[in-house]
Amino acid sequence: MLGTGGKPEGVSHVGLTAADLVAARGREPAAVTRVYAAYAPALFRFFLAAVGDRPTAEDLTGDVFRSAIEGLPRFRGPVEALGGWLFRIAHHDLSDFWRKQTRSPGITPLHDTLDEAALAAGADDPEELAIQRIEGDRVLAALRQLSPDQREVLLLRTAAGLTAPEVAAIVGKTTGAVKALQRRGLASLARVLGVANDTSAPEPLAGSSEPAGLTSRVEGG
Amino acid sequence: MRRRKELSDKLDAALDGRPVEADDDLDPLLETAAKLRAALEAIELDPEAAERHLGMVLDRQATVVPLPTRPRPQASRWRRRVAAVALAAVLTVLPATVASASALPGEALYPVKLAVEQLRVTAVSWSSTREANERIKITDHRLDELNRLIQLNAADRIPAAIVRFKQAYVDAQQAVEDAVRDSGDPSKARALEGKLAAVRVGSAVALQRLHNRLDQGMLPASARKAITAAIRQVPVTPGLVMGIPQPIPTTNGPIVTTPTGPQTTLAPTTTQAPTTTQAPTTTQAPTTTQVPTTTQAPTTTTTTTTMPPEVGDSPDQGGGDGGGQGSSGETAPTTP
Repeated sequence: MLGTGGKPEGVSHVGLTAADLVAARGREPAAVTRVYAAYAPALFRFFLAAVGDRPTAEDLTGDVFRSAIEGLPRFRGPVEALGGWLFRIAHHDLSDFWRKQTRSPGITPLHDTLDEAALAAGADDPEELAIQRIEGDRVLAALRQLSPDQREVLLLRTAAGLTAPEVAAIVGKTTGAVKALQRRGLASLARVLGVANDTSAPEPLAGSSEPAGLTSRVEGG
Repeated sequence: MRRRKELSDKLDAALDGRPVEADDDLDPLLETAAKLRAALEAIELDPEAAERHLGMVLDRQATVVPLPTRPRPQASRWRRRVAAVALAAVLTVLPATVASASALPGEALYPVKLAVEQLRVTAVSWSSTREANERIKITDHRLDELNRLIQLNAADRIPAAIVRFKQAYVDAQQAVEDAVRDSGDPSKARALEGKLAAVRVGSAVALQRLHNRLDQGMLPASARKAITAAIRQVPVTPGLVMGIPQPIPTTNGPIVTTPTGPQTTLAPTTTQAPTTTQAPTTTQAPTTTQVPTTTQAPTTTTTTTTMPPEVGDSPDQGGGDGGGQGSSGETAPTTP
């Protein structure tokens, strides 16, 4: 289980043991596979929702997994802390990704790639699924309108299933700040999605860790 | 200010699944969080990507496909040629996930194969027809593994392979039933049922082959016990063993015949659990998506996992009742 919070599918029910951890350190294929099956889906959701591009999200997921398996001998925590550790790597990789993106412009528009991903995932799906996907796209598009801090906190809470203190440790903020970010993030999201007429002001983008150029691209995309 | 902090705390507690009192400020936030979770959960990792990722890590160690253990006597020219090609393949270091596709139970990469299969099922679970097709494929893989183990005379691994195959069959059967119900398209239904029937026929042939090997003494006598137990373990067994009418081993009480017990042939009678005669699997395993355990086995000992079973139990609990393969409440799952 990643944390005591949410239970994203494919993450918390796998139940890795300390023995799995030891075996994965030794690159035992079964254990490595169990670690992958436990965390890769959540990592992928985290990255795809953050960057909006399926191939990039897949690459980032693979990179985190490889780094994690290679770095596992250095991981000293209990197996329960493995999720937090993996998402700390993911957080750093995502920051690196944004940094590289600002240096080399030419990022694909996020809307297009997300739509493409959604289409690829369910090309010949029935109507019902199509409606669900449209709703899912709408939510993810709305998520991209949040400040990067809000977005990442919400993703770490919902996609990764980490607790507020775990998220705080990863993003380098206090637990209180994380709680406030998630409240403001959800309030903004609710407003964009038309769930409620929240009157509180949206969190300003200032102070964001994401490059300004990218922010404007995301918002403009 | 204080109200906002309280709201933040309540929201955090609710997101953690702790009980909180509902209020007008909190509800829309929770509704939004639920929407976000649903959107995220709809995102599936492509199984191809998963294979790549696993390959990146596992390929760091050279992965060599194991050789079949013993050469065949009187190999034909054709067989020798196949063997040569196989040997060439064996000497090649394959990517782990490619190699895992041919892994057999008991081999290091077998769990990778199972994980990739599971990812494939998850990836198509939005469509019951696709899921059914995927599960039939998996059943076919299990049958292939069983055939290969029989060919290798790997007596110690055959019982577990039988149980895995039967479990896969139960899952596939349930998935086909779901797909038929959902689609309402008779041609699709026929296609799926036809595929499943083909697997069933294949299983009958495989088990006949196994029976022959046991009779010919190519497998140790002790294996008969464990194999018999494995065949009896899951309710779907009789249907699989009996398959459909013709290629069924009907003499000498094939696999079910125990070393000491009577010659229990393929009597389809269910002596112990007559109330579950028809299609127990459909009612027992309502969810076949992820969790391999079947739920609720009212009168039978259904609850196998996809893991190797304990096959060391008494093999002959059904030996005296004349039930043969049809004993222990086992019933044919899809007998037309």
